[in-house]
Amino acid sequence: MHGTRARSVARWAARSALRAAVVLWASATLVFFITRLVPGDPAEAALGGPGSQASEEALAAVRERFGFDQPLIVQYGMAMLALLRLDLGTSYSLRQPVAQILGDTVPGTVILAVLALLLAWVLALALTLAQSRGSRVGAAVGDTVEIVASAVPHFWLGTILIAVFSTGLSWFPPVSTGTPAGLVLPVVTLAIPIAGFLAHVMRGSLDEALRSPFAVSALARGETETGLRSRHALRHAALPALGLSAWAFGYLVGGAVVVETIFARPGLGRSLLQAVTVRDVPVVTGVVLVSALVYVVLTIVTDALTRLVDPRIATEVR
Amino acid sequence: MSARDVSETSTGPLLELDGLTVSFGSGSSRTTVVRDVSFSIAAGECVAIVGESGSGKSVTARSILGLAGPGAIVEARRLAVDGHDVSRAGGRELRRLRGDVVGLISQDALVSLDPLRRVAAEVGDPLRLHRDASRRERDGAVIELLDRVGIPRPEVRARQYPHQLSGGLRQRALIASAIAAGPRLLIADEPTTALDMTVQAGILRLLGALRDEDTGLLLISHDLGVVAAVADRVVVMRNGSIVDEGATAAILAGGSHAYTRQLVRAVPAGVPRGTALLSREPLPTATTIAGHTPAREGRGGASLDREGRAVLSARGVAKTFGHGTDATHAVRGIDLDVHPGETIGVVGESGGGKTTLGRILLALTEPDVGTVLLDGEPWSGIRERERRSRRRLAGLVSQDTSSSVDPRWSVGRVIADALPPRLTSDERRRRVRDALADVALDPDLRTRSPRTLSGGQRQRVGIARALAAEPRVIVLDEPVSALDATVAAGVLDLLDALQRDRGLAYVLISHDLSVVRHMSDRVAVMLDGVVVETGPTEAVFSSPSHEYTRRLLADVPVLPPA
Repeated sequence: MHGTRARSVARWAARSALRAAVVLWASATLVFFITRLVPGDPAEAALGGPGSQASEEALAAVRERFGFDQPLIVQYGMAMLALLRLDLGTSYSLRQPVAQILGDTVPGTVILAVLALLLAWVLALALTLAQSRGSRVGAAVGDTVEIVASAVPHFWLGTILIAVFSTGLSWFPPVSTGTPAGLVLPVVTLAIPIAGFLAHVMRGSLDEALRSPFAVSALARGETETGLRSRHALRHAALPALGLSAWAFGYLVGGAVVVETIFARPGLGRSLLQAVTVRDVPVVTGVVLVSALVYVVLTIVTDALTRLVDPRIATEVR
Repeated sequence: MSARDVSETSTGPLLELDGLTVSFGSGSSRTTVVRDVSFSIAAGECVAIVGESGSGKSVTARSILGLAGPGAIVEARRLAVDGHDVSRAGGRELRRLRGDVVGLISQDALVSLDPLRRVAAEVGDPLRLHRDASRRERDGAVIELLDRVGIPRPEVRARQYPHQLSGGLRQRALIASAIAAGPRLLIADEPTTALDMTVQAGILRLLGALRDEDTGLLLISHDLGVVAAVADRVVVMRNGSIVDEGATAAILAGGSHAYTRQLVRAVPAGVPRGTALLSREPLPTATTIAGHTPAREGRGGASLDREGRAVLSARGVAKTFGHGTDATHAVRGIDLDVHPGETIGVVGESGGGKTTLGRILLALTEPDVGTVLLDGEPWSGIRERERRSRRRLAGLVSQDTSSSVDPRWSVGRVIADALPPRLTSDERRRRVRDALADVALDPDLRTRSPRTLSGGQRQRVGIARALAAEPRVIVLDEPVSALDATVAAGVLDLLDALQRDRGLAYVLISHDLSVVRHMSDRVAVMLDGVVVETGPTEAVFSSPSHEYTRRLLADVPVLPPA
């Protein structure tokens, strides 16, 4: 039995690593071609955009230096080789290595998104347990709360939170600086829509678990309603939400663009926004790749957690 | 334990049930599903409730635990277990009774044990809830319990999850969890429905042993064979009321009510081939189909090498799934001929390769070696395109055939879908109506959704669909396993009559040996992918030559001769 388990885990790890590599390669390829598809001269973009009035000689020099005069497939090959060397290039607009820009901004965004995801889980669990008493009114209230929460746009929610808790009550600063207090409002803004969504998914599967035959068996052994939820149903409820968490994290990084702008917080989202505005291709590529990497890692983590919670998957023979 | 103290002083029966009425809903939508039910169970006694689905037997059992379901209104003059009044008990009191004084074993342990928890956690729960046992104490007790219910290697099994156990072991684990705290009354709700005969026999012996240790047993079953094996008394329920009750032998002899006789009649055991189950009349002799004499004439004789060409013929077919050490040899070299108008019964335990054989015969699974001929033409080893025009010649009726089509389709569309192509729409309508009439269903049902039909009606729709294609041979894979006894008897009678009318060949796959015996001309006994014994049905059943056949037959619960 032990051998099978170990082999199954090893096979899973190998498969995950391979998948991660494929996803990263595909993201790099996509972003390479999409940035080339954007109309306009890449050399001009490299010199600061059409407004820069660069001379013909300067443009030629840039074309030569970045290889823009080469055929597209050669440029693609060069870009992929550079990535293999972990060389992300230099930002056109900031004249800094992209790796350094990412190093400055990624941690802030990841902390923001991770905290938001954790808060979303806590809120979703609380909502689920509070609403799962089987009453029709409770279910209707739960539905409404969850749907409204998941439909609220970040920019609106962020503005309202600032108006109430910064301007009105002065509990938290309106601008997110390095202090923990400054993190509260951005995290809440990001977490609430995801919490509504996760709670909706969880409550559905919790109700299903509570109606299943094993719930009757548990009650027939003398289990309490609370015990039935905490020992049995909650795990079943968490499974689909766990699977969706990697996706949710991607959504959170996307939401960070808006939230970081509202709260004037340095981060991946703001870097991406600025880079896209000035067509800073190396930075865009770097941000997309880092996002893909984080997403891939999180998928693997949630997959591992799912295997931990659901023994049926862990021992599945493939 | 206060529960114990009371039981020692009370001298009354273990379970007292007087005037139990259970209804759901309120006002005009209120429906009563159990009406004025009274019976009692003494310690060491087994009382069985038999009845068809919807008779209220399960709700009656659940009411004893206070688990009749949300919105249930339970009323009773007296409902007491071991002296504790259940009808007036609050939530806390009820929880103390559940698992400690009354244990529940439900059907289908696959879904009755939490798939995300280890067997040990599920089995040990009553000890945690009622005995405040520590983790270490529970672990020791669980291994003892698993051993007691006959689970080999209990230390290993305790650490596993339910899906890693076979159906029989899961059911045993579920029993272990029900008896963990030593309840005085056990409620077993269809405890063997999903299990093989051999496994079922083991579970019934276990329940019998518990009863002999002075546990009261309430057995819910639709299978009179199971009831005969363990019950002392039988209560017959229909539409929520008790219609008959008495000692097991008296009830199995027909009881005192017409409905009891109908139930007993529906059991195919001992009813000879060619006799309708419900009427006990011989079926009309088969009409001669152009060009061939029905096989019926050779019935009872050892007519293995028949005249005429087999409609379906398999030679040396084998199929292996997986490879290396994980390989499963589902079918290992089987020869089989099915002639028009005859039924071949295929019996054996689950995992024996019966279903794979059926799929090979239907060309749904390609055999690794060997060939299958349909009507003398190659049927295996050819491209699907070459098979398609002849697909209609070989039909399938499975456990719940009509649920395997789009649930939004109407009955009429389900049947019309199987009709040969290029018919006018008038012709289609006529054929659908005929097909429904053939299976004794009201043609007006054609607009309904299969979901709104009863199990028996659905199975008839499945048969109508199979017939609509005008097949020569039909593989019947557990055709009545999901049906109540009397409904199953009606379906079996129908299949028999259709065979007589049309000279159909059947391959009947079933774990129910009495169904196979009643329906088949010849049987093939499968074990681990091999046919270990084959021959005319009566010869195999009356003097089995292989050890495995003898063991299978010994495990069939029998009704005492009426």
